Amino acid sequence: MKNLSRILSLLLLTVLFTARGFSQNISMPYSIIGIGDIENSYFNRNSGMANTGYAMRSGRNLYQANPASYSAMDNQFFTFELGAQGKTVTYQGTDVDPNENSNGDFAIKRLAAGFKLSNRWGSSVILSPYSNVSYLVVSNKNIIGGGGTTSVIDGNGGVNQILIGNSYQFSKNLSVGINTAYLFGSVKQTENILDASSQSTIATTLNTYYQKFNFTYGLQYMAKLNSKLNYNLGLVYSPQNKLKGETSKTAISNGTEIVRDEIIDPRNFTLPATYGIGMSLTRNRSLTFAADFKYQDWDAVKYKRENASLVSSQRYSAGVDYNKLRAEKDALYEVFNLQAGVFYNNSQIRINGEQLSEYGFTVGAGKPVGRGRINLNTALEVGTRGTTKQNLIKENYVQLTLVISYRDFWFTKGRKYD
Amino acid sequence: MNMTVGLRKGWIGLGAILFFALGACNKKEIPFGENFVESFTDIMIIDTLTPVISTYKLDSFPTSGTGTLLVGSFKDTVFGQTNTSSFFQIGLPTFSINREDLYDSLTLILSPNNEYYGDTTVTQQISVHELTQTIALPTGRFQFYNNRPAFASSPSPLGQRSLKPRPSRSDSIEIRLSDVKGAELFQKLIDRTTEVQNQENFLRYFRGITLKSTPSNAAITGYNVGDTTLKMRLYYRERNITSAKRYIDFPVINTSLQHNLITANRSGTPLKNLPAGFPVVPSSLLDSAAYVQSASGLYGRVSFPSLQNLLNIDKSGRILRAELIIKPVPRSFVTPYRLPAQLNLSLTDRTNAIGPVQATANLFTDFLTGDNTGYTFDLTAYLQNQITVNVVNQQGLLIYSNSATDFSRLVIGDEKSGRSRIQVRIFYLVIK
Repeated sequence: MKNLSRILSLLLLTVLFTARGFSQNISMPYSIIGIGDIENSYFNRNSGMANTGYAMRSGRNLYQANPASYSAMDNQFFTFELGAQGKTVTYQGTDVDPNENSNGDFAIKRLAAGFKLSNRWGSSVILSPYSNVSYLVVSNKNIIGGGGTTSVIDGNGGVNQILIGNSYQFSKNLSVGINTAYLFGSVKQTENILDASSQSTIATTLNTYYQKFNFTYGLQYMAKLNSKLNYNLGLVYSPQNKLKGETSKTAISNGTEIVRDEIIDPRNFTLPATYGIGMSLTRNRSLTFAADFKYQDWDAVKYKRENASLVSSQRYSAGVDYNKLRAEKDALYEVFNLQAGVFYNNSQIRINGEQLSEYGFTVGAGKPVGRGRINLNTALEVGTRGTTKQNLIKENYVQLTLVISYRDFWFTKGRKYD
Repeated sequence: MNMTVGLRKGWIGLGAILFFALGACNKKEIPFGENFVESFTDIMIIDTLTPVISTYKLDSFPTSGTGTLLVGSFKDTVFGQTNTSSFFQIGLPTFSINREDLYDSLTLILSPNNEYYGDTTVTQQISVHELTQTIALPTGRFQFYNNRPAFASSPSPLGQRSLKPRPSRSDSIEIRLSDVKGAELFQKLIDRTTEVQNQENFLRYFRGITLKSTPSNAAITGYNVGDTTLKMRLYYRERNITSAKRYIDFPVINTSLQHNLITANRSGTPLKNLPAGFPVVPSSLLDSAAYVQSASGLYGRVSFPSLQNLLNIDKSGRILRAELIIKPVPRSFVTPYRLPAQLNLSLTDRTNAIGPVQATANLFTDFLTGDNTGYTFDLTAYLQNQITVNVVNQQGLLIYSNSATDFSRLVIGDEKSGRSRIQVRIFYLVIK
């Protein structure tokens, strides 16, 4: 019953945030390109380490970065994780109104569950964002035959993924895994025209629904350097994949629907091949240093628009995680943990000849509560993206990630608690 | 366990604070990305559709009970010679006079309502005649029409007065009437003869008045019809030391029987061959124009037979807004001619029956250049409906001013006229 009440309170939080969560209130000006801003955060225990995690494995945390990691889950346990994020962004740019230059939102980002199916087999089900679209642009609209008016373009939506991850540990040194993700979600662009000369309002929406299965393969190699030092190596690969985008348009004028969900040519979007490599070094199971490198071959996607293109991206990150451990009977328990990380991302977006870069740092802290069943983690990330050169926008952001994880025995067999 | 509960509450609290603190923000507009907008909306202004205009001459139109007495005539170079005369009845008031009192004079008091048509610089002579025939509606009729024959009146006037209409002034005008008639009436009052004992008898004795005017090209002026504004006045003097002047007013009665005779002689004008009633005469036969003068029974008519050409631009297009702009033919409204202050557009059909009012517009006067003087009607709803009519469309709109006694007039040029003409301006939405 106690477990039930905990789960219910988590669900309550989930419902509360989901209601607000999936509609975003934050401006991401660059998300007007492609399928929006590609999500680089995992909203899990990696968040405090600048999302560094290709080589990370954990007995109680679901590291989504590398599907080979699920096999590290403690035997007979299941884990439920909820990740939420609050973010405020301040924008800089030549034409940015200094009085209207910041906003923020808070949303549930990730729901995850992990199951240790056997001693060697770990499995997960995760719902998390793949990309986010949210922007608001005011544009001049020409009236053919004379004059002009203003249109407000509102973009929202994004691609989500629901993935099933499976990981199998062949030996104490080698684990492999695969994330089978189903990507789905709509990206909407609505042009709102309020035309005084014709005394009319016109709202036209282009809605693209993307969906496709997407696979990520992972491998982790675990070894000892000496009695105190362990190291892991991680590799991740995801092949190029074309998202199918079914596109329709809707037009409403003065409250009357003129065009309703008329199907037009599909807007497919190609995801690049992704290569990731990472390493981690752990001392006495307590202090971990990790580093990742991710390369995405956007060049091969050949996405070009006027003055903008997608180019191959490189992301570098590194982080440390310190675990305060307490020995009890013959087992080690976590008392609290502290984290820090830095990252630099030479992103895929190139506009007006400028490739946008992103960099920042993170700090994190976590603590188990409720006799170790619940783990709370927070991570703060301070970063910047873009540039004010070439009439572009620079985003300075602060984001707070909250991760609640709950775990318990997966079957009643085995050790009884209490 | 208590600690867990406490922490959990703490989390919910923190979550709730963040939820309201951050969630309340609105997405900000950031000036970036205009080039990446995929717009599939075009708004276009189309002013090349040609409205078809014509003139509709009413067979006859009611002129009784309008509250306006019209008198005068005027020769208009475009609309021809218009003559008006007016008929009304005078009632018997309650009165008290003394046998010793002395008759002084008899007058007719008129109060101008500031409506006029014509050249107000020319002196107009108004003559007052006593009717020899009782004003009565034909059986089964409730109104008099503009073209009914005049009720008979005595050829010699009761009185006459020359005056210059001063339409901007509302001072009463008093016309001296015959002393023969005045003294006779006074004596009847003194004697309290049967003629002045009741209304019915009085109307048999004094059947009413008609007003006429000479010469025939001065102006038509309007006067109020009301028991305080239109009356005959009998002055008398008391026979005593002060010799005070007193009067008795005989006000207009049965105002619904008051009516105006309006006749127009259009020979020598573009309208000379205009047939009355159905059918209408297209602008091509009337010097590329349509003519509106409600008080003389001329209505304009407009229709939009080429409206469905819009569908050739885009079948799923939509009329966002439609304006009908009527600019009068230049110099057609120079003094003494005036444009109607307000125009109505009413639905009509093949038979030109007048239907509900679809749109109304006030005159806009461009005092600077005159180029923009005219009327702008909102025809959005009408044309949105018309574009869906697939059968042979014989609907249209009648153009007229509301007042049956207002001789202001309008000449509307068709597409062969210059810039000042009738034009429809449509904001058309095309979804690409």
